[in-house]
Amino acid sequence: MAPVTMPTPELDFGKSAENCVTDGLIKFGGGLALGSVFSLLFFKRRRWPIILGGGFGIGIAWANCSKDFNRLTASSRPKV
Amino acid sequence: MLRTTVKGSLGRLGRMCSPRRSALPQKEIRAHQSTKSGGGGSGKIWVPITALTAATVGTAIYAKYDPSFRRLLEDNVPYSDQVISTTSSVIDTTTGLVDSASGMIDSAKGFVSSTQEKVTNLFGGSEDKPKPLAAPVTPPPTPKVKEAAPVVKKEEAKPVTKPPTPSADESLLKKKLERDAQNAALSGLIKLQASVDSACGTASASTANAVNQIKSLGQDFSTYSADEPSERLIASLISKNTEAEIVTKKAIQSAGEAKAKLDSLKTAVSNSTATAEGLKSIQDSIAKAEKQLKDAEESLFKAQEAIKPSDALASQISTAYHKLKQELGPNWDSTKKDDQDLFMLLISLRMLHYKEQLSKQSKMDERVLVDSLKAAGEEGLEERVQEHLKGKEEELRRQLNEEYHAQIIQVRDEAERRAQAQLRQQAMIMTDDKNAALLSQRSAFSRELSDRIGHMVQQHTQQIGSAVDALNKADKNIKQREEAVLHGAKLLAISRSCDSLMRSLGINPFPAKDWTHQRRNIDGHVRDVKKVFEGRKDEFVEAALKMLPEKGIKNGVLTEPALKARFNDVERVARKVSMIHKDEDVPLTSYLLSYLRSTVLLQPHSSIKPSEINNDPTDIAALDNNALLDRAKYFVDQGDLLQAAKYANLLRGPSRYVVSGWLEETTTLLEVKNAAQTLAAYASLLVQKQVIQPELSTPKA
Repeated sequence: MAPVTMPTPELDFGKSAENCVTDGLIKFGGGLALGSVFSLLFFKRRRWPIILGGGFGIGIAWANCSKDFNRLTASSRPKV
Repeated sequence: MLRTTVKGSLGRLGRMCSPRRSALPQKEIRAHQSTKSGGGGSGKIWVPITALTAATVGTAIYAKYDPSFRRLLEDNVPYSDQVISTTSSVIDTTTGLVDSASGMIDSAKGFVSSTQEKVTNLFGGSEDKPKPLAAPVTPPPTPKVKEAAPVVKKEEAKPVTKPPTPSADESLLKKKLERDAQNAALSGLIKLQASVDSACGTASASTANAVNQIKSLGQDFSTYSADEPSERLIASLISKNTEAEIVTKKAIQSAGEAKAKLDSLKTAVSNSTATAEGLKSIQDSIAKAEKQLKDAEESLFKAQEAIKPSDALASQISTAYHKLKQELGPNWDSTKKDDQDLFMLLISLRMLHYKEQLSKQSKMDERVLVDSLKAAGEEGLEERVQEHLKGKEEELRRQLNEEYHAQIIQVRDEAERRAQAQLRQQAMIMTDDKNAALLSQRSAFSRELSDRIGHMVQQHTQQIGSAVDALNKADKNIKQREEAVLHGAKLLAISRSCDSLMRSLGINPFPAKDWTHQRRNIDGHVRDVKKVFEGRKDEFVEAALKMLPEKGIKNGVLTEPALKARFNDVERVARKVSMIHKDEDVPLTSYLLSYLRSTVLLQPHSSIKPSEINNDPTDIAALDNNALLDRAKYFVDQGDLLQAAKYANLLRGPSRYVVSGWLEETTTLLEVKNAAQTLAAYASLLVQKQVIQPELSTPKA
């Protein structure tokens, strides 16, 4: 019998976690890069825009990850 | 009394104190007023009551004597009949009392008058004493009653010593009464005399008629000639005789009635109170009537005697009758009475005729003999005459005997012929009767036979019909049984397939592959079940098939081992998020903490109590996600997916989401297993009912 596409919620968390990590890395790197740019261009090569950018990136990734996880569990919540 | 006295005194005191009040106490005034007013008022009340009563009584009395008025009242006034009857009874009682009182008064008066008479008689009596008009009237002395009168008078004289001397008016009255009584008695006697005269007239007329009839009959008898007898003539003679007898009886009866009336008249005359002068005519008429009756009787007797045969002839006839009866024997008894009478009459008439002829002949012979003897001489005349007469007599006697015997023989032959004819007729009748009886019996027999045959044919037809019906029924039963057996086989197949499905659900189809490939298809099984029950509306099967989830039929069902394997992954992930119990958005740090917690926790997190395993009441709400997962894992390891699913269903938060897929698949499997078990059990039951023990399943009529 051909494999049937069935919902696998137990795998979704792993996927979400992978996505979170991926997203975090990307957002962090992007934030760093953007902070570097800003630091180079506007803030006389200071460290704080880079850290800030990195922090912004992690924060956004954090938020996205949180949103993803909550979105996952929202379907199983009892509807009021 | 004391109270009234005190009150009265107080009232008086009050009145004395108050000048406005009257001198008399109120009660007295009121009583005085009431008596005053009561006197007048009572008078006013009594008048209408009296009038009403008088009207009612008068109406009742009138209704008693007028039936139409009574009916009118009873129809229109309720209870009027009771009132009227009561009033009538009262009136009758009153009148009875009045009558008895008046009777008592009369008796008292009588006693007083008798006492007065006694007293008067003691002192000599008085002629001028007036007597009451109601004194009893004694009958006048009659010539016949003379003997009884003194006796009566003596009897009457006993209680009374001396009869009272009547006055002139009373004697006249007495005489008048006596005359009236005599006249009444005379008139009665006259009426009786008239009836007697009429009865005597009727009797004499009927007797005269009877005498005439008898005389005419006698003339007919005398003119009858025995030489040419005819039955018609004899029949007319018999009818005339019968008529004469009837008329004679009537005459005798009317004479008897006249005699009875005459006797009653005689008795009435003897007891009558009329005068001798008045009775004389009646007595004369009595004598005349007696003479008339006697003459009529004598004439009737004479006429009867005239036609009556002599005693000798009668005895001869009776002898001849007996001899004839002996001669003819049973033939005589078989002839009718009328024929016997006719024959006897014929015999008697012929005998009369022969007797007359004999007398005539003897007279002629005597005359001839005398003449011849006179001519021949007179010596030895007497002896020769005697001898001649004897010879003649013997000759006649012989002739008569011969004729008699010839007649007897003729009659006997006739009787025999008649008897033979009658016997022949009877035999024919009997033969006809027997033939008719035979025919009727034959027809009855043939009818009965045809009925019986028809009945037997009908019975056989019914039996054959019933046998055919039984065979048809048996055939039908066999076909039904065959169908049931076939169906039962199909059902058994279903049962087996369900069992195999259930077994297959416990085995992975592809053991080398992971759980995602371990799906069992149930579509075929459902198709088979539907095919077996195609055409048969079975609500239970339909309900059982409806229990199957659509997804399971479409996508298949994961096997138990697959689900067990999947649960391991599910449990692992669910434990990572087991710390979060809220069913709402939680921060990511909760997830991280939960993950960190899960890495340091030992498995199992909490031990399962034996009470829980024994299904004792437990506080499930106190269990957290880890405890629930422990329990679910325990039951999954035990193979009780149902219980594991129940515990998994209690998870909260993201753990619930994690197990939802597994839960869904487990629910599908359980539903399919349940339906399969149900269908297998139902199929087995049907097989049991329809194939193995159908007699238990068929309802008894």
